[in-house]
Amino acid sequence: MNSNTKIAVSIVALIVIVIAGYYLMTSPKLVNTTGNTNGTTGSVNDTVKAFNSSADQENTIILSEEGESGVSAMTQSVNDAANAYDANNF
Amino acid sequence: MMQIISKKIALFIGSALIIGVIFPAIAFGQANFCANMTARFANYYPVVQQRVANLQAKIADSQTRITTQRAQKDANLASARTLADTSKITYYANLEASATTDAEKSAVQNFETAVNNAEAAKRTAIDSATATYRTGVDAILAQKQPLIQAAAPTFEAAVKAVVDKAKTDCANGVSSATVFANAKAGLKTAIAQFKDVVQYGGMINTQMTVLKSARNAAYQKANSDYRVAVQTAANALNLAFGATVQ
Repeated sequence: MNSNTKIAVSIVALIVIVIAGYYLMTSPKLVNTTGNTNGTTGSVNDTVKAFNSSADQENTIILSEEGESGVSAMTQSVNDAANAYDANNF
Repeated sequence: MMQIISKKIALFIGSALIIGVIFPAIAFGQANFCANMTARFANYYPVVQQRVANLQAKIADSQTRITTQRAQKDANLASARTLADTSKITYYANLEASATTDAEKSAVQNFETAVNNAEAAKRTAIDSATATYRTGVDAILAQKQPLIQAAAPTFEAAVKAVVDKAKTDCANGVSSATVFANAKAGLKTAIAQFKDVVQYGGMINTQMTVLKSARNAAYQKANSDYRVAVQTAANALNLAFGATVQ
């Protein structure tokens, strides 16, 4: 291979690299089904899912019991005491 | 003449049947009331005592449960929020690492600010709704529970007074029918007075249901607003990254 051929091959290779680099820099980043953006771990979709999951966990906690069953048991006991005996059956 | 005599005989037989058969059947329980009183009250008064004791125990248990479960819930919520905050830092760091251009970096900052604001708003709304609910429940219980608590021993004492009076009257030779009538009237009064208290229990349940519905609606709105805000911020971030969601 003479020197002119080497130069031509180098130029072609350089052009290919520049085009490939430009494509990678400018093309839309695809979010795959796992939510990772072209290999980055900080996927936006994963982030949203994680935040929503945290919100769900907080929801489960805030909707949990806070003494209501005890109050219901108390009010039921009021009825039980009132109905201890029917005076009409006396 | 024979017809008149027959009518008198029929009237006599009818009256005898009423007085001799039907009336004793009605009056049998009353006539034997004093004789059977011990057995009657032995089956009745302890039940009243036990149910009043159960009621007092439930009142105490109710307050303990509220205090304990609220504290537990607050602790669990604080832990969940701490965990969410820690996780959030990691996700933010990953997003920041993936941002290469100034526009992307700015978009990540905007996303973080939007999420932080949405989360703060959600937590403030939830905490406010929880506080309103608890204040409301406490107010209802503070108003009605002491009335129930005080009425229970009053009811028990009223029943005991009826029992004691019946025993005394029987011992003093008051007729069983009179003792029976007095005892029955006394118990009816005691139960009627106590049943006024039953409505307080109903009021507590009704008002708690109203408060709970308002609280849960506020929770739902806070979460819905949060999700919309996060998704809006995520859409803006995706746009800045030039991402296309598959």
